[in-house]
Amino acid sequence: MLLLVIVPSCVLAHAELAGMDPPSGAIVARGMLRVRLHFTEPVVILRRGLRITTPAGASETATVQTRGSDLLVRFAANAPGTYTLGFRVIDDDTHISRGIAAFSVGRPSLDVERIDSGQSAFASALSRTIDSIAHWMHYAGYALVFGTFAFALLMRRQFGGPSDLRVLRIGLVLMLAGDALSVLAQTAALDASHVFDIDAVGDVAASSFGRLAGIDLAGALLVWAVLPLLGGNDRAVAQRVILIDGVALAFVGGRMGHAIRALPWEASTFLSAVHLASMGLWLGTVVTLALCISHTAPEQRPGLLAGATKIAALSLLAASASGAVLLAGHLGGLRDLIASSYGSAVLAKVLLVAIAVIIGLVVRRNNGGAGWFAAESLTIGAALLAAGYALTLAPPR
Amino acid sequence: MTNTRGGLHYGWIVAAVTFLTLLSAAGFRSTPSILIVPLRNEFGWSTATISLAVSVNLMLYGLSGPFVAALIERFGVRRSVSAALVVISAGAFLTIYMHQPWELVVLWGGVVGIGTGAIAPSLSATIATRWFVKGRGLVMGLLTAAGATGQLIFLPLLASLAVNHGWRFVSVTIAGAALIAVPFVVLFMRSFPSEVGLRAYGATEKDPEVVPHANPIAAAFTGLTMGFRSRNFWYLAGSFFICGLTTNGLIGTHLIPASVDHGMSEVVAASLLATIGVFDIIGTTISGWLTDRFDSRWLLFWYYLLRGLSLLFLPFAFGSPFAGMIAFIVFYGLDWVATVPPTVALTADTFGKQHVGIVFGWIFASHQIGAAFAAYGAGAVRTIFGDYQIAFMTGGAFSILAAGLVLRIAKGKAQPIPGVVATSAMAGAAPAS
Repeated sequence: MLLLVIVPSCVLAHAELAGMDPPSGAIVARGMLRVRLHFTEPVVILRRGLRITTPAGASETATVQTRGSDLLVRFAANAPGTYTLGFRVIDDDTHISRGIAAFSVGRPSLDVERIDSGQSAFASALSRTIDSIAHWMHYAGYALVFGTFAFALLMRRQFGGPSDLRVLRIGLVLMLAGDALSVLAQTAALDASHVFDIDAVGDVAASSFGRLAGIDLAGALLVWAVLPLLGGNDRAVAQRVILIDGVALAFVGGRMGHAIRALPWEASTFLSAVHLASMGLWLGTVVTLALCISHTAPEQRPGLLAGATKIAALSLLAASASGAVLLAGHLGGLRDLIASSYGSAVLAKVLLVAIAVIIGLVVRRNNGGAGWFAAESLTIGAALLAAGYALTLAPPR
Repeated sequence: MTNTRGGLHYGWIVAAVTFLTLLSAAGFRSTPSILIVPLRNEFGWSTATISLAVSVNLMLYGLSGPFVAALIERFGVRRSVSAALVVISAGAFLTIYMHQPWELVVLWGGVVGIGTGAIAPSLSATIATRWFVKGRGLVMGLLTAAGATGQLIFLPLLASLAVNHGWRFVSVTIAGAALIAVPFVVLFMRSFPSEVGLRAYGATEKDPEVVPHANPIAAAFTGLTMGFRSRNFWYLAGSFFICGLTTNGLIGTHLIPASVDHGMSEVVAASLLATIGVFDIIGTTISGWLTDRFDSRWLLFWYYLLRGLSLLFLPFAFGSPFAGMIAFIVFYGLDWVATVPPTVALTADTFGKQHVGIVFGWIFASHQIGAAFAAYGAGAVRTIFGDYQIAFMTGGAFSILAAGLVLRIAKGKAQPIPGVVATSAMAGAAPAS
């Protein structure tokens, strides 16, 4: 599964239209029109991702070629008036970009400035909301499945009791629901009025996003597949399968995250994977404490708390280090933390992490109960929501 | 009655004729995957429409098993197989006159489907059981391998014919090949060793001739009732449904048109599919050896898991250099039919060796229903979305689901079921590719 994730290709952050030749709004000569759209990174046009509309409102056929970051479009512009060119592309880290341009033969017949702006804004707001929730469900699910499991392995604690399996099943449901919701987020990004449109779902599923979402779904199913073995003699094999699966899915998550343009894609994916896995382990550790601390014998509590503190501290350290490198790669400077939407979302996440750390320190110093660990878990969960929201925004760099 | 007459036991001649017949049948059954692109180009029919015929073909091939067993009991092997070959020949030949999609469904789906169904699922088991005591496993393995070998020989040949001379040449070739096999069957095929004054190969006086005691159709339905009561049956049938879905239905039918979609020539794509057959022989042989030594549930788990990963990798392989496709062919090919030996072993563990034939017949039927489902479903996906990626990713996810199903099979002793008479007619029936 890991191999599926590391098939070479170029990934960067959200693809943006960097230039167009001729520029949108240009007056062009009658005849065959050639338009070059240049993006900030390699893109692939989605199925039904190109739509040319004539001045009479009819559809015009066009040929399209993709050359790395360039999209070359050719169509016949023979009638006087304004032609619109709508495009929908996807980059390798699964972010969809859409836009519309206009070219006029003679006098413009449409207000070029107003074309599609309202629809685009609504589509991106709806898509961003759904996508944030989908990311959160996926991250939380990942933490409940793999974080709790990894914590048990590190503590040499037997995993497979009723409460362990209940948490794991909730995590699996969250992961699967998150996958389904992320498809809707993508269709909303294409067209807000056709979120459930079967063709839009097909466009998304047939893209690079569909490939990674498919692996993600298979990874969740694989955990379900080996569940019956966790309580039996074949426990060791099941544990290895889940562990490898968890690492592979961290890389899938990393591949779908924002990559850093200044780094090779492998390094970027690795950093994102480490960040996701360590956040998952942290949340998994705290959730396990919240569930089992009250059932643990008093003489075993200090040992459990000491081990959990060590694991939580190490995972937080890994998450902070990887997060800091990712942040440095995405921000032009500290000012972007306030000036950009992406920076603000990350800042909110950092603040929530800080609050969770404070709760953690207080609860451990005062030998707090399950309620405090639940509060710490919820705060980390809120930080994951902020992380999910940040992922829907284009970073400044 | 003697064991041999002359140097060579007559059983080997019967086995050779059966091998040739099964070899041809594999060619007939693999043809639809070659016809999808030319039929789409000539008639403008959608992939979904053409896939419906393939789907009907696969379904009839699987469901005809119990009834064909009855046919063989009533009319004998020679007459049943000869009639089936004539039916295949007529069905394939008449397709050259078709102009409407329903004609394709009736001829290629219905007529050829029934014809191939009358040959492949039960014939190898019937011959191996009746004619061999010694070396029965070897004969069964050889006859099972005939399917893959037929695919290896026929696929590139027929694809080349389709590209260079048109799809009608393919139909005529199939019709001719089926007719050529008829005289061999009429001259050399015999139902029982006693017909040529022999005992089965390796049989002693203590080994009575295998003669089914019950009406095969009644026994088949009793076997189905027995299966319905067992949770293991549902896990086995469910996982084998997915097996058929991800092999014959998805890859067997749609790998060639999908490869053509990605710029490969039809002959190269057919050769790749045929190469899967080579690795299939290796994988199935190794799987038989492993089944004797390891827990069948674990073997199936790994087979389905690897198959799932291969299918998830396929959309990446289409976009990568040729090495990607080679990697897919090797890993996918190795477990194409490898699932059969452990599935049969688990069926025997659950229902007892005396009932394995009947119950596995129904599990095999679920395999073909899965194949039919995927043959049509993937075609519909291609027609609606213009791409096969969703079908391959879904197939990958289903395979992982199958890996989970087989781990839930309880290992238990076989329960004797009152009122069920054993028959070996379907024993070892393999979904040859």
